[in-house]
Amino acid sequence: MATNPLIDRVMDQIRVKMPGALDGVTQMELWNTLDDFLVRTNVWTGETEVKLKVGKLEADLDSPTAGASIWRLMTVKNEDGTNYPIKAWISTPGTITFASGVSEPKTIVATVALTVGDPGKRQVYPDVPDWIWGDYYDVIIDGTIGRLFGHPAKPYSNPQMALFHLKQYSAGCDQAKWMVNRGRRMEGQRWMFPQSYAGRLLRRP
Amino acid sequence: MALSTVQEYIDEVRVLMQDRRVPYRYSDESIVSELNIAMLETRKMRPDLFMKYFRTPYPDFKPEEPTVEVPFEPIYRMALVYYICGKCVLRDEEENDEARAGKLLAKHARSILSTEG
Repeated sequence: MATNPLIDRVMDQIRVKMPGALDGVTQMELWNTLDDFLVRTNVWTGETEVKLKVGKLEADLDSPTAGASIWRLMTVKNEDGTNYPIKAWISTPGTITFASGVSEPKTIVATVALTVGDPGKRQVYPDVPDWIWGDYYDVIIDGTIGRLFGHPAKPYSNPQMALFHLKQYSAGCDQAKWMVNRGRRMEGQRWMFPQSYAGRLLRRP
Repeated sequence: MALSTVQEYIDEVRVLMQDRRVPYRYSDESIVSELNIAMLETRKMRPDLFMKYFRTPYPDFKPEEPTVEVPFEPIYRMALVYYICGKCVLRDEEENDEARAGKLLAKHARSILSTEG
């Protein structure tokens, strides 16, 4: 049994819809779905302190949450909340690189998008906040059963249903990303830059 | 739970094969040997049933250890019994019935690959 009752409900829903699927395989696909969902949507973010040293362009970037992996750098700010003016990027996982160094030691705050980390050998369910299971309940179920339906030569193999549920999942991801990008406000801002002129990254999902 | 140990597989096979009187037609050795082969044949069709053996050797059951547990997903255990029975019928010299053997082996595959019994 999972610590979060919602995880049990997700598993129960999948067990009913996928006759013959093993729990171990379902948990594997659940992990894959959550990883893909978090990477696509950036719904899970956290802040981590970065300590800059004189003469170094690189610094350690540690995950703010145990059991989570840093996927993307969202913003870098000074401790007082103002923007840090130097360009920064993640060159290799766990390291943040800056375009120029500092003249005295300094601590800044990086906001990073997180995804599920290595579940380890004994852990069954990935460590994600409880609210993600609740807010994206349907999306997680659609993604997992879509992947399971796509397995070859299983009692539950069904390519049509795989396509249907993965489309639902994809739409759910787009909606989650859209909502997060607009701070979960109803309708968001009313005007929009003409989409035919928007770059790929600015286009509506 | 049903079909948990090697002995329970042997007993279930003897029920289906109507081989419950001593001396048995099918020895413990032959049934356990087919159980080991059934695991390998099933692994070929459903690797997900053997996830726990991806990094460890497959189990090797022995007739002299009948109380050893057979770690297999409960809802698919009967499929192993069908396979063992099919192989027993196939190599039976007195009552060789290839049609019946074929049905039992097909039932193993059907049980593993579909939701039918």
